[in-house]
Amino acid sequence: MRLLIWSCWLLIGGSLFAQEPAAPRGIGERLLALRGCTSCHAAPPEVLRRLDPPPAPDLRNVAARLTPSYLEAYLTAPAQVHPTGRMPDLLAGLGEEERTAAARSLSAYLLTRGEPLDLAPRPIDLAAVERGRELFHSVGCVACHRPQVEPWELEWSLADLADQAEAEMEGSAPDSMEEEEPEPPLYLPPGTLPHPDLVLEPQRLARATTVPALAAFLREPRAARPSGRMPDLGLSPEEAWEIAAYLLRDQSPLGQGRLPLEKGLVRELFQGLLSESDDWDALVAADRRVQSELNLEETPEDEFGLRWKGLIEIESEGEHRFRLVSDDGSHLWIDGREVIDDGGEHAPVTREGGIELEPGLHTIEVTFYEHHGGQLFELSWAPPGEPLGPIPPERFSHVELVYRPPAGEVSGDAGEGKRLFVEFGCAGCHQVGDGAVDGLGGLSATPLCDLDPRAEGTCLSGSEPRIHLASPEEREALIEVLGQCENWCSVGQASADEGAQLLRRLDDLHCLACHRRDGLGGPHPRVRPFFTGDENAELGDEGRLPPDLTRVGDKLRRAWLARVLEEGARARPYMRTRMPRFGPRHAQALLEAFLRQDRGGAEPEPPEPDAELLEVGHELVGTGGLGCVQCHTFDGRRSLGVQAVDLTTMTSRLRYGWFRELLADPAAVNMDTRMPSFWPEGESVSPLLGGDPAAQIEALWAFLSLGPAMSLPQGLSHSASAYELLPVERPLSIGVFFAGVGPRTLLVGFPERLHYAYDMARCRLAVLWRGHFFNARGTWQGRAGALEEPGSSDRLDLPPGPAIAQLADPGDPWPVEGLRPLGRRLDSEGAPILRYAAGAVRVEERPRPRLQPGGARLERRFELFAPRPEPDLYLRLFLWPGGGADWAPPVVTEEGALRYATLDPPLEIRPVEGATPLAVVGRDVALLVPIRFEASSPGAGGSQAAAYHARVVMEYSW
Amino acid sequence: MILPLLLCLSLGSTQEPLSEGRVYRCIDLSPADIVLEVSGIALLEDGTPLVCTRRGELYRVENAYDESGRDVIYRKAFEGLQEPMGLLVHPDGWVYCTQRGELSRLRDRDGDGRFDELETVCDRWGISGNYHEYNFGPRLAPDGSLWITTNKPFGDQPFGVQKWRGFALRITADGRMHPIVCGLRSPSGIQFSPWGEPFYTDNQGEWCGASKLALLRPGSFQGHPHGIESCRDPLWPYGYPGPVPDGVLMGEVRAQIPSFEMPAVWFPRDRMGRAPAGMAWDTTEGGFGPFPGQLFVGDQYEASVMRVSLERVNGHWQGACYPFRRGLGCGVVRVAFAPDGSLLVGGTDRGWDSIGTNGLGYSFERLVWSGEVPFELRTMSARSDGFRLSFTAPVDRALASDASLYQLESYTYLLHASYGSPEVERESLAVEEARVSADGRSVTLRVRGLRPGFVHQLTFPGLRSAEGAAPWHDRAYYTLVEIPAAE
Repeated sequence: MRLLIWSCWLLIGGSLFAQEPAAPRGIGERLLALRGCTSCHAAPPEVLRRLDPPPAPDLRNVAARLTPSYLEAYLTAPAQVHPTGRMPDLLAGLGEEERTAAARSLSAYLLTRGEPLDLAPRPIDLAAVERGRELFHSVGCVACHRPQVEPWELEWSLADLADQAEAEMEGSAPDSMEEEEPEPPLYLPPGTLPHPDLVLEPQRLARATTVPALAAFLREPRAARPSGRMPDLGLSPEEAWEIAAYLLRDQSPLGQGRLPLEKGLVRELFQGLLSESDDWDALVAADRRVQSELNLEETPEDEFGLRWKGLIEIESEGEHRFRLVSDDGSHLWIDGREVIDDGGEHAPVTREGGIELEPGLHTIEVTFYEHHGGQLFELSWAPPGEPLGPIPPERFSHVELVYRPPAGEVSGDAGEGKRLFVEFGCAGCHQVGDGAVDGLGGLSATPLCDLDPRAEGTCLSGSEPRIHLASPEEREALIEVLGQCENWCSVGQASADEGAQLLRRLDDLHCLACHRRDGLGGPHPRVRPFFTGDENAELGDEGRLPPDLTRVGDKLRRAWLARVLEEGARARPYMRTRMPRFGPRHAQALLEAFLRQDRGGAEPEPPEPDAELLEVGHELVGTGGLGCVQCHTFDGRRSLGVQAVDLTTMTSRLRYGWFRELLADPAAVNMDTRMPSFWPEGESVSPLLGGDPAAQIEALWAFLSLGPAMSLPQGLSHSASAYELLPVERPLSIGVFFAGVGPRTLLVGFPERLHYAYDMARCRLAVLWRGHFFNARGTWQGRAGALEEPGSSDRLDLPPGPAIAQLADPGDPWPVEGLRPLGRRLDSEGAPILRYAAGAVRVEERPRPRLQPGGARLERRFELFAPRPEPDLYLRLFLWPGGGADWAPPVVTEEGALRYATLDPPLEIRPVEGATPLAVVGRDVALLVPIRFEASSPGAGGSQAAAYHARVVMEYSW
Repeated sequence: MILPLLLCLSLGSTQEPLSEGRVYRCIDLSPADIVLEVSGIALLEDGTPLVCTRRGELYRVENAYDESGRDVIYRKAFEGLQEPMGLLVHPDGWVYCTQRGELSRLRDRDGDGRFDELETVCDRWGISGNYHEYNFGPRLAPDGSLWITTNKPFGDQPFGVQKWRGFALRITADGRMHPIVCGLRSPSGIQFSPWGEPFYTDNQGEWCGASKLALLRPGSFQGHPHGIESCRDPLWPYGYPGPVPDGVLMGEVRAQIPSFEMPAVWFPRDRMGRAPAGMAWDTTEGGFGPFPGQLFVGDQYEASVMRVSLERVNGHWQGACYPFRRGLGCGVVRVAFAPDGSLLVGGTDRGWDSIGTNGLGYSFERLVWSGEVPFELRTMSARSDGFRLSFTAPVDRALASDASLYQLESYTYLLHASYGSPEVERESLAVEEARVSADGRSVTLRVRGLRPGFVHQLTFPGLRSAEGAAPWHDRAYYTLVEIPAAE
């Protein structure tokens, strides 16, 4: 920490305070703020504004975070227990006995703040520790905290490392290095800031807290540390638990590098499973036992799952073959990798798989699932060069890790502690949630501007100073700034320059430990190997190092930047390091600072998405145009090459001006980008729009601005998953059983990402939905026959019953059925024209999507052919059942659509041709269109020739 | 010099039979990038195979008769069919297929190679939303009607129990449906014989003691009571078959249910297969080897093709089944003879597993006869006092005349509600005499203890051809329903 401040402020000093002796003041000021000096030493408001001291830890719930023994030890000797802590030692100067008594009383008082910790021993899964180690070294902790392993060690399991440690202790490790070689000096690029190097000493942590308490802290660090300097990485409960389990490993035998191995694998039994894909983790194991021979002993008849977990010992190096025979499904994972997928519901099925393994212990997990009917489970293996056979029981083991937090109670007097808490000024910095104490100021000490830092009896003087500083330089800087304090307190220079303010905020939140901005900061070369990305994204450093923040206020839209800062919104799923979420207060301040600093000139007006631009944009994005889908993912679907930032997020994140500049010359905007220029020397690679770069960029923006409402561009791969149906160039169809519709349902998916379900038996367009079309696993895997659902919840359900009926009076009850299926034709684009008969009337219904911002709309076109002008024929567009409680007269929009705002989401129905809607209010409310036949013009209709013809075209938008 | 050479020759030509794969070479056409779960094969006029898949797609298979099988091109012709399980190229120019919910026909109106029109021909049967309610066919009857068979459900029926499950349905050109045979279980193969009678295959399970081939005699009951309540519907003109007895020897069912149809051939479990499916009569007139006119049946579990010979005895079609070609890529669902005399074989084992060898879960292959004639029992036929065996090559007279060389036993099955039937009432039969014909190509066995209604299982591992070859396969299973009168 101190080094960061040092160099950071030296750099600022060099550039911003060139005419002043700024460097010492910079460091001194930061120390004044970080040590909370102004809590006791009153300072004028403008000085406080300038220093903006971060709040101290919140102690309202401290009993639920820290163990009694640690609290007492820490208060007795803060600097010894936690050398990099920032709290002044206010008990300094007391005699030893008094000091111990005071610390004990204070601890007793603080232990009344919040529910006490549960200090009972707790079994922890080794896999959780393993994952915690991985997470700690990948999600970003090591940007500020000292790594606890060397990068290469992450490739070894904890079991392996324990093995090696044991071997080394026995002195039998043949190639263990006797002497550590000095590390070669690292190349430090210009602007590199020192690594903050905050040490999380495992022994100290193990004394301080428990796994659940640390996990709770990690999930919500600002609750305990409102300063925001410890970032909230948006960890899931499991992830927080795993990191906590890793950091507190010294509470277990792992602390001594030991793995308490027991024989066999742990088998858990889960009852009541109806499908393999049920969430097993949500169930409580009905039975837990250790098995060395994996079998189905003492299991129910049907509907259960088994999970074996533990370690397998490998003796010879090479490919190990495994075989599962099961009825129903089973799976095998080794070292977290699925080796055999024998899943699904089936009669005995044999599946084999192989994995390269090295000698040593490897994690193994086997699951078995039985729905109903016969049951069988057999696991066998063939180590390299050996025939298939059972796995010897002695090869299986598991680890029983028990964490034991330090016991101990505090015997002090809480009442006395409360008095001391006020007396020593603790309440000046810390909240305790105690009405009688909160809000009391600190000690009434000499005002900041009147301090003589070199005098005797101050916080900095004596053999036991209250402020523990890391170096003589820090002490000098503090003394110096205080020496000049009076000076700048009074001359009105209290407001710092905006650039400096921004830099101070970036430092406050440790932003520069991960990001560079204006050539400063970024991950320190020493910890850069821990910044990793999904290698399948193949993005190199761009895929693993957080983005450069130079001009970020100009690059990103305000709303997106606010989400990034406040909620940790991420556009780069391939990056393992996570953007923290800073909450509204910090985010707001940082956001404003970015915008003030980065935004200058006029922002150009983005183009309107008209139909022509959309069409050109669609072509440009696909492989027939500029091929954006080659490198950018599309709404989570893999691109063809590297997996760069998703296309659907572009216009909601980026500002148009910056986008134009980037596309025109990517390298000029971002030197590190691998994005190529599409208009080298002003020549477009695509002839569209006359090859004009500016016009093409406009079209790209217009199309991209549809966001998730974009149609699928040409070239997107079909192989997102074996069962994923992805209509790219043509519509796709599949016949399924469909919930709420029928067993003969045709699903049609369109590239425009609006899809429908059609009941082939009753000739009914039943459900429309937008977004993800359909995953066919339920219909195409195993015996299948699943009752399917739409691929997204963005759906519109159309009325039950036939769309067309003959009514003597429009108020008559609508019939339940009456249409006869004739089949379907495909138009030239492959979209179905649904054909059916209503008595003597032949109907051709063509539902088609139309692109528009906010999600495509559906055009529904009916062509009706009849031998005579059938009277009293009606088309029902929509229905509000049950007395039309949801119905209210619609608003007519500018485009002539009927807008029903009472529906959720609001529905617009737009008559396009031949439709004069008629709302019929009866027991239900129905929107009907009377059908009017006209004599067909001679020769019209081709093979469809009929004497009379009617056409109705309308659109649904929601 | 000469003696050792002769010895070599005779050694070389004895004992080891030719491998199945040598006599019938398998050319693998299975695509790696298309999940081709073949559920129907039909041939377009120019011989190009058209296949439909369980995923509801139709493919035109170009270069299918290429020697290497490597230049095959799959062109998608349609999609969105609901689990079609059969395909027919009709003389009327349309392609018919049976989906779960309807019989449909397709055509290519603009001639671009993709079908662009689907017409619903008939959808008068229901489906309940149960996965097992497949429909098989259609097959074209001599009278121009189309026949399909409907599978019965297993498990949940979310849209309610439906009529006409477990039936053969006859659909006339006007789209009307005429239920014509009841009591089917899992009737995954249907085919008209060259002489115009419809046969089907059924899979062993409840009320179907053993997998079988049976005639679809109009009005007959095939043994499974699941759907017979539909027989009370006026659409079924043959009357209710009656209560189905649980636990009766197959040969005795007809005494209680006169419409019960005895099978033509039972396929003993595992020795032949587990799940017979699509079938085709060899009409290649020798192009497919020495079994012209016989029937070839795929097995969905065994990944094999089995061989069947039929004869009509006292008005009942019956006969024997023989192992033929195993070790195919996946469970065989459909077979079809190609214009070049080879047999197209396609299938999948999704949902039931098979012992197929390609590990893909589907296969499309071509079996090509090498031209070599193996020493094989061509036909086992019934006589009043035994069986007549005819072989593809003259037998070793001395060996073949030895009655003790033939082992013969018989057993039958139960009609009952449990899954499958054990082989019951098993007895060995005494072969009293084996008489070799003058040309040495057939042997007549005189046997004591023939039992009608029983499978007669014959094995003859010790037999050799006149040239010393061991039999290609050394067994056959004759389903004796009727015993012919003495000549």
